[in-house]
Amino acid sequence: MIERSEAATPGDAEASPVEREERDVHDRDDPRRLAEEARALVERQAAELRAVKVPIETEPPAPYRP
Amino acid sequence: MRARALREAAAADRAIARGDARSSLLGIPYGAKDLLAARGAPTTWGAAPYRGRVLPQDATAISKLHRAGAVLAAKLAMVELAGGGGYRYPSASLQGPGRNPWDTGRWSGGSSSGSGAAVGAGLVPFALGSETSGSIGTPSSYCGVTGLRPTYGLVSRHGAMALSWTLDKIGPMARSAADCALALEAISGPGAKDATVSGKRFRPMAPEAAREALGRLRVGFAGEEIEQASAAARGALERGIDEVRRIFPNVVEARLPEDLPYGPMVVTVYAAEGATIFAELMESERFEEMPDAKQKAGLRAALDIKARDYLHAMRLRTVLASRMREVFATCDVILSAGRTMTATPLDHPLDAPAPGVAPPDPEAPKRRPGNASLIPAGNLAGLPAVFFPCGLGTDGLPVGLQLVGPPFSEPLLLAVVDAYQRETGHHLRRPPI
Repeated sequence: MIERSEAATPGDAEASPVEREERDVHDRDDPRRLAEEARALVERQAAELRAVKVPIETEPPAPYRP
Repeated sequence: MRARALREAAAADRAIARGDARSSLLGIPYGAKDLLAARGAPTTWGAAPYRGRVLPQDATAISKLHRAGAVLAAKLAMVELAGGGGYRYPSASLQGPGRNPWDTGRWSGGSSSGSGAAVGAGLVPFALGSETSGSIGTPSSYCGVTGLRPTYGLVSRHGAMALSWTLDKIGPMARSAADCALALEAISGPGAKDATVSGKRFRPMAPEAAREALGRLRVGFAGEEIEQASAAARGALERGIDEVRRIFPNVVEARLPEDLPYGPMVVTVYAAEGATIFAELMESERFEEMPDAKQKAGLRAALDIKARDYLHAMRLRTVLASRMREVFATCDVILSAGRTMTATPLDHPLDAPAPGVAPPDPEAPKRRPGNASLIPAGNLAGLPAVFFPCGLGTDGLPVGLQLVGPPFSEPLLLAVVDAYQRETGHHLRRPPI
């Protein structure tokens, strides 16, 4: 996962609140950032799923249900 | 579309003239979410890559309504690809954002956006929507209509866009539980072209059986999720729950299992299945025509979900189904909020906290979730639900409750909501348009 720091955005000191908001919205929809976020989400969800263990000795058969 | 509607209406006129009242739906107009194929009308799945496409078949649900004499009057807008991949803005649709008839600056909810808006505005008495996880419930709650998510396998999905083979359901949205029952009776039952159909038919409860079942009804309720509702919605939700308690006084504590990760389970399942379904689209240039950058990123990332994680989510569904049987040993239905907030502004990012809802405080002590995850849990377990209005929020927008029951408990759920609606009349309120 790539961490981002909002404070590290260059030019924050000079930007007006409106300019900053517009830039934030633009950044939020940046395809590269979105791709990183989406990949990170897949990993986070996988980690949450894997944290739930199912004992195979007593597991009911087959997750498939037509 | 117009020619088809006029043809079906003329056929209904002729049937009525010769006294052939084959069904309560004879001559009744309805709309269908644009993921259902219908001859003579475009079927776009709400997505620019499929703009103008006409499919040469009727979905089974549309065929059944045709046989019942209903008149398909509209294909209704939806979030593109039913929201597969996740999306950031209500504008993620070929037809533009779904506008709420109660305030056109607000969203009608998704992904059955047009179905909620059209029924809420009174443009059609009922519509077909679909739900993978929340797509009937959210627009029903936001638009003040009654929506029924059927048990997985009660209604054929043949001719409907697939987002998730193991989660998708087709269901009616209408002005009342009674109207939902009429539509469900027509569309449920056998469907040879969908192998997941159970073959069971929905039949409403006979009045005497309903009286008996409602008299001994045990309503399961937790309540913590209501404490997390937005400032605008909370009062109406609390009043609605009080009304249910007054009509059905046997309310018992019932909670979803608290050790299952509902969000990751449902997203992993529908993301993995949806990415497989739309892999060819993603590999084509047409994919770039879709406007929501977050959705495209979400779909692409889902191609990399590991088989291990998808299958683990599926095995946890089996665990959940078994645990839900234990919950329904203690109550007949579970009551909760439909959504814990009212419709959001059209330009509000859907992944930002809703107006009036405080963002989670990481320092705050962890609260019990109650039944806050009832939408993903109900969908993962294939359970039916009815979403129904319970009043207006302080912002004048609809607020609704949901009632969930065991598999194939639609007759009971609709009888309960019908009784509630006869007592309260919230479903009769109309937007000021």
